Amino acid sequence: MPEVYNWQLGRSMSYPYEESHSDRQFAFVFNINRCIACQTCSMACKSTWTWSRGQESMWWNNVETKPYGGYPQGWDSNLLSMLEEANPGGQKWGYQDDKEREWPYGSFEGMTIFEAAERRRLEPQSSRALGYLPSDEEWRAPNMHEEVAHGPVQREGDRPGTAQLPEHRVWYFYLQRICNHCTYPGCLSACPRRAIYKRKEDGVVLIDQSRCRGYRKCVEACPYKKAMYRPTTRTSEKCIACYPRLEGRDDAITPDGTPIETRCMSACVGKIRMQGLVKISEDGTWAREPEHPLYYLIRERNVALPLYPQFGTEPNGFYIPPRWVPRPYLEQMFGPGVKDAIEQYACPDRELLAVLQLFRATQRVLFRFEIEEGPKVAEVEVTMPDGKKKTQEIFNDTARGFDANGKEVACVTIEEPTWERPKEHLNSI
Amino acid sequence: MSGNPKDRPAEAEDPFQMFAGGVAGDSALMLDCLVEEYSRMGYGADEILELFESPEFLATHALRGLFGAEATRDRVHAVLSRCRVLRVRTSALPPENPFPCRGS
Repeated sequence: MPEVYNWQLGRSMSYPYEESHSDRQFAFVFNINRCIACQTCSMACKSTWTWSRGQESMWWNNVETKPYGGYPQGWDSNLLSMLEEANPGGQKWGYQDDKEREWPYGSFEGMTIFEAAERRRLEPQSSRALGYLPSDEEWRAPNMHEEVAHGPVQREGDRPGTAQLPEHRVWYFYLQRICNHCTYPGCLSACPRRAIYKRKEDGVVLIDQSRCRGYRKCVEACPYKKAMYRPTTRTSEKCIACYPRLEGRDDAITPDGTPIETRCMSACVGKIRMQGLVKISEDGTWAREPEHPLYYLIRERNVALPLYPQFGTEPNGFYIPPRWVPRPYLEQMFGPGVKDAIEQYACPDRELLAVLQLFRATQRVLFRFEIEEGPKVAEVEVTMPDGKKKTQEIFNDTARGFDANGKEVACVTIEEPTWERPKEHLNSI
Repeated sequence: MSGNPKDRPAEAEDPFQMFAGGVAGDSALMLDCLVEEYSRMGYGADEILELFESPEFLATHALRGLFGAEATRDRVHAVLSRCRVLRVRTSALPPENPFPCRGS
């Protein structure tokens, strides 16, 4: 197989096709810390794209409860254990140099899904990427038993006579997932019909429905299980990054032709999502754009991290990891950059705090930000990952966001924090 | 039980078996962090408590079920009394109407 460079792994790796890159890349940051599982994103996507016959179990956007759940059930633990079987004890990260931007998370010494498949090439039925086909049962019930099914708080003995659901401790976090529109997609590598392609202009990965014959090799090879089979049409389908909105070509939505965010992003109640189109250099690395909000969060500050980078597909979805989760679990999920990311996020400096205010400030896709500095207005105490407290300085700064045409479309000013009146003085004057 | 989880046979007497193992976690730290997050977004005590009261918001509502309504309220007030509520002001920009009538 040809060698391609994967900046998230800090090394070259095997991939079935030669290296080729888009001009810009669709990418996004999800802030896990803010998600409270309202599922508005899932329903926005479902009601737009997957409401037809044969798509009943198809959720291009899903939110699953970790560590207990997954959609399809067990998608990540299954593949992690298959990789461990292929390379026992070897799935480890090596040297990390924070100052080296080309490999910000260190160097991955284990095997990717492509390299694990390459080792098995002589076996019958071998694929180009290590993977598996989930069963119908695993697809059928997203969120089933991921957490206790709480209704309104009831008194003891009020519980209706329904089946007893399994219970576990109230502690978890939510993982929001759409297609990562990977730089080296597993689905694309496995398609025997070459029906899957990556667009030159924005890196969006699409399935050509006229070429697809429903072999389901993409479903098997996608490590994130975001290619899905539709039995009524006998083809596979996947997230299309709402490309009509991304192209800005619908004058009913964007009369000035600027890109607008996807349905799942623009519907987010918790303001956890930001998407963008980052510029890609000829060598496949991200072109330096420190004033681009996504470049700033992902490459400049390393505060948002890729999901399971060790799979080797170079996913373009990035997550700000949750503060209340033990490090070893997060490091398995997001790689070795977790500690640094959480330390920064838990007590953000003035620049990072200002950029974070731009999340969901507008439906327009932001291409640039500016910060207008103001005076210091307060100091507040925040909880660090180890439970200790730290003082954060608050400045009266203004963050401005600009669209593809360079027009200002968002302006958010941080003001002096307000005290909440303590409960015992609620009625005092 | 050994082998890959995907190859394990279904067990009729244990249909609700979890796929993932438990991870040590701190529910109180989770609550504190969520309150801090929403205070950074400008949510005051009343608005944050609504997140805990509504069953639509599974995480916060489950935490209220765990700690109880009174203890949750006390804890929210305690967190806000030290981290305060960050106020942000969005300046007026040209109106953004994503669904204008055609021809208007």
